[in-house]
Amino acid sequence: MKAWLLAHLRAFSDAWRRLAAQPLAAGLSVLVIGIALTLPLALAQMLVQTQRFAERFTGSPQVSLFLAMDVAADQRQALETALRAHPGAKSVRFVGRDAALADLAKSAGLGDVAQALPANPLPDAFVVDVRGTSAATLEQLRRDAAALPGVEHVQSDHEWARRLDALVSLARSAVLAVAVLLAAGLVAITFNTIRLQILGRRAEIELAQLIGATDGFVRRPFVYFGLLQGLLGALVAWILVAAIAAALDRELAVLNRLYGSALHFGLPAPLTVAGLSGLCALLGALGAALSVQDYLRRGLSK
Amino acid sequence: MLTLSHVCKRYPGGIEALRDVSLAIERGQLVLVEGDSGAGKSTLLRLLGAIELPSSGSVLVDGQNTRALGRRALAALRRQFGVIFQDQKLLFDRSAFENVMLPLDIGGFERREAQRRARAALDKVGLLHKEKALPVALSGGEQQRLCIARAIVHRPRVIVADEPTGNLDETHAQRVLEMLDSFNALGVTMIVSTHDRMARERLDGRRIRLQAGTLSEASAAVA
Ligand SMILES: Nc1ncnc2c1ncn2[C@@H]1O[C@H](COP(=O)(O)OP(=O)(O)OP(=O)(O)O)[C@@H](O)[C@H]1O
Ligand SMILES: [Mg+2]
Repeated sequence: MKAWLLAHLRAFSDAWRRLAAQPLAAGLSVLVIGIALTLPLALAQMLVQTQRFAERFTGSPQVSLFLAMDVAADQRQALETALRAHPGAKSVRFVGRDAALADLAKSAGLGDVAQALPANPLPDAFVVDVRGTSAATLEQLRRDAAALPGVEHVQSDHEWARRLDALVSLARSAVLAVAVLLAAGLVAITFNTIRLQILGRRAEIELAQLIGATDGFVRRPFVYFGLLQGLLGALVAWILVAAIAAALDRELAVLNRLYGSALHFGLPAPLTVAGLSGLCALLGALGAALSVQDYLRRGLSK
Repeated sequence: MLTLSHVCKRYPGGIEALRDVSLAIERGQLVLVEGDSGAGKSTLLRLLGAIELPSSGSVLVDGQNTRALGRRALAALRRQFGVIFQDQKLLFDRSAFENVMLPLDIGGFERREAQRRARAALDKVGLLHKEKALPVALSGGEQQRLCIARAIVHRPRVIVADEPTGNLDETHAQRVLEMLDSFNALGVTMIVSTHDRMARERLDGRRIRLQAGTLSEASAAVA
């Protein structure tokens, strides 16, 4: 156990020393990895923030139920109870026909017209706020509401919600695709960096194997090198993401002031940053391990 | 402890470097392998050091058949040997000290202990004052002594020395031979290949002769 730890510590310090010994070459690889990682990380961060903002800014989608003119008070009561019990409903508000007319008169400046009407043409209505932003929930609520007795017409902004939904999921798939591609890229970059390093240290590796080095002994320092490179690449990426976010936030501050909104990017939660950095480190280690394995498999001197 | 039975070694290209070689080497023995260039001396030593595997026949080290071992076990076996390579295989981008440290790193020695041993080995071959030098800054004789230090630093049970006096002048060759002799006196099994007449005269031990890949005992003839 102690020997095992010792071997790993040594491999780690060896990797670190080699990284520090060629700051330019290593720095360039780290920079390339960092820039490659910046794209998906920045996109993901923007997506998350925009989605959150969209929910907050536009509020939840609504469904309006217009009742038949002859609905009695107790039937209306039953309707409200049914609506409140619906899992897709966040809140239910009743808008009486008189209130609706008064509202219309006030908001549209149609006071005179309203006055001139012989009778109130507006029906009673329920306005239901939908839980969440999913188009599926909205659609379900719309359909259920339409089936309730006494409801004559249902109007919902489901088209809008569906479009937002589609856009968000499209953006999410795009970010995911870019992320997967660049994760593969990170593995490939590391694979190649390590391959070059192995070529440069061929004499040493071959000698080590001749005098009894195990595959693990050969592999370890390279894997740690890949790990460190991935981790440093992720750090570079986060610095770039933070810089981009800061620049965007400065622009957004103006918009936010004008529209009274609160959209800003910033960095994700520390735990997310740590988790994604760890993932990048693991991908680097994977690329390195694959590279060494490839060498060991072909360089078998039996 | 080292047993070869009916060993053949064919290299790609059809060259048969060893033909039906059988040989038993006891613990603590000093064996001189003689033969002309191309006779198969290096090949024999590489098979003994578990660096290469026979094409047919078997090489047993303490009863373990080298051909039957997995990669890990083979590596463990190699760590029990100290090898002086004919082509030296010094690492030219590492200091003398770091060259000697390599077998200890591989053996998983604790850092302090490793450094102590590396210095002791360098001291033994008279190179302690050059521990920081790169191999290119060493003379031919010093490089050869560095190879010896690297071969003995982890206190192997067996030393396999391929032409250890290869291109040294008489004085330096003499020193190297004395050194090898002194390790043998400590009980280390020693297998030395050479076509150097002086080495044959200076080292006292069992002699075997290779001729175009075929082995014969030469002891009787020379002694
Ligand atoms: N890796 C190899 N691939 C192909 N042929 C080889 C290889 N190693 C050795 N040989 C051949 O095997 C034969 C024996 O070579 P070996 O190196 O064992 O001879 P040697 O007795 O050590 O010679 P020298 O005294 O010149 O060092 C030679 O014909 C050589 O060309
Ligand atoms: Mg030879």
